[in-house]
Amino acid sequence: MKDVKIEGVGTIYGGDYEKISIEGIGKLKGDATTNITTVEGMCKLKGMIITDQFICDGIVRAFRDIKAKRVEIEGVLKLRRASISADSIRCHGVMVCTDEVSADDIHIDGACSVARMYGDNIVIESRETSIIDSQIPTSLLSFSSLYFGRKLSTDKSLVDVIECTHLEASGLKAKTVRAQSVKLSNCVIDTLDCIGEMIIDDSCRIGKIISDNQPKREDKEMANTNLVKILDLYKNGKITADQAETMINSTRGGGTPDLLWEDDGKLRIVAYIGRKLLKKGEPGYNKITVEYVGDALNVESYGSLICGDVKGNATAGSSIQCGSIGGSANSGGSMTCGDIGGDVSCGGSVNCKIANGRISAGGGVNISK
Amino acid sequence: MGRNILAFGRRAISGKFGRVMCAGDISINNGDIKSLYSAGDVDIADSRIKKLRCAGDVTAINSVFEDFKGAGYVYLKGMSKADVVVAVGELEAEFLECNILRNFSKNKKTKINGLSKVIEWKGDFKAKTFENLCSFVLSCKYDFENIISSNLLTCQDELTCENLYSFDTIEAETINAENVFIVPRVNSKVDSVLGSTIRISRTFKPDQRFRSILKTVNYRSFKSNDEIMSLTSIEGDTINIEATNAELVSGMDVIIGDLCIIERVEYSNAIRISEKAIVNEVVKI
Repeated sequence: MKDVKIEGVGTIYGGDYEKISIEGIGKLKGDATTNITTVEGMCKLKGMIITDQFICDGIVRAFRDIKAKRVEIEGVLKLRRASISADSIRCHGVMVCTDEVSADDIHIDGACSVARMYGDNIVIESRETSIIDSQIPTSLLSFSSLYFGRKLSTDKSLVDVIECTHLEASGLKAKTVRAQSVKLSNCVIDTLDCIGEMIIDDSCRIGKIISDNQPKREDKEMANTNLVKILDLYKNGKITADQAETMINSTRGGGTPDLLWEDDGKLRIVAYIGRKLLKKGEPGYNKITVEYVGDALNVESYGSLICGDVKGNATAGSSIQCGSIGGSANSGGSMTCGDIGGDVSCGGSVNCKIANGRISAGGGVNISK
Repeated sequence: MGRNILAFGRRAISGKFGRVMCAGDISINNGDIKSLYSAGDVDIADSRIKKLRCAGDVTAINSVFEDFKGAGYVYLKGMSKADVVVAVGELEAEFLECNILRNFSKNKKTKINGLSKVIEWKGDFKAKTFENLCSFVLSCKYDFENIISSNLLTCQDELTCENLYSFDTIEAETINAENVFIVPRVNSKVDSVLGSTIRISRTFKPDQRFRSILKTVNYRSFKSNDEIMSLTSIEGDTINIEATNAELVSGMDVIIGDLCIIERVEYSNAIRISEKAIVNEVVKI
């Protein structure tokens, strides 16, 4: 296969070549297949190019796709409505692509502005001087989108979407990053979706972090993450020790459980459904039987009550079965007990030994001396 | 103006009276009384009483009151109307409509023998302002425009009103109000807060809206201790929170203040996050 070389102004109409070399101003009007393509001047690609090596030292404006094994960009490569795919892309200059850039290995230490970037291993190290080196007037950068079709920035590489296995970036501004592992510094990312290791510098601004691990994290892990952050706030002097303690208690679910009474020393036996306290009047509350072994002062049960002697009053929402009651006795159901010191009010029948007060019962009254 | 009565023992009256003072039980039927002071049980039917102070049980049927203060068991049968009702104790009403409804004495040290630590009313209540000054379970049917709570307030389901000011522990599955102000308390149990303007702050300073609310208690500015309130979600238009531990905060204008621990914040207009706060995820929607 023959070589083709443009040193002044020329046009290539496509075909198979060993080498295409443009050192002046050239134009490719048809699809071409080559082993090596080098551009040192200016070139406009209106045909697709398939090559082993694509070396851009000048300015290339591509309107058709470029497929290569190895791409090296020292100058400016502009792809408009065209994509570039390669095994390896190294960009020391400027690369602007309104479509897709894909390669196994992408290394950018110049500047880039790309719509979508896909790869296995992507390294982006934005160099502020790369645009100046490429002789693009920085004063006209605000109009860059008119020429390039995308905005260019001197301090950051701009990529809309990056998907890769590993991303290492500094000075990257991206809307969405999806990667297995990332190492970021001085980056601005709207959404970071990472399932593996994340090393993110303090200088980064990440809008939203989505991690497969994150939503599935145990509460404990989440609390630990917050714990570290609280300790950092304290170390940095932003919060006091008391405030840090309060915040730590909060992450540990501080606070007393669902209590509606005061710390008055009374024995209370309560029932929970799940984490909800079963209260008086709720369905099923009176089906509960409370059994207490030993003497008690005053007993109040929302359900049935089984206990020994009660020194004070005994009240139950349902039946009472106990020893002697020193005070009054009230029950919604039947009552079976020993001596009763006070009045008796019972929804059902009463079976007791001695009752010193008045007896009011919905059923029969049986006093056995 | 009608005549005054000083009664001992059981009395039954009807007609127009000025001041009635009674040391025993009294029964009033078709009465129009300027002021009634009673130390016994009171039965009222189809009457109008401007001022009532009662230390015993009150049973009223289809009656109208202006200033009602009762310290015993109060049972209002039929449709009752009042300007201010203060019931220190149990209250049961078939339907009570009033401007201000309060459940305890202004003096927190007041002790009433036989009164449960936690008060629960029964019936149907409509009021412009409900002032909660004691541990209270809001399980009755209610229609309150404003709720001002300065003690434990428990609501099993959704707590709804126009303006809610909670200065103490609050327990509710959901709070749904146009304007919500909550002082964070560690024991508060709220799952979600929905509203237009939501503020959770350790500092309370009565604003114009609060000053315009009808109330009987003078609520002064204060700053509470550093307690953090935990809840699941806060959703509103304007959100300004501090000392809050929440999973989700979603709003248009969001301010995350000091001592907040927020898992995810969603905002659509503006956001401000204190350097003393922890926010794990910020999403602009």
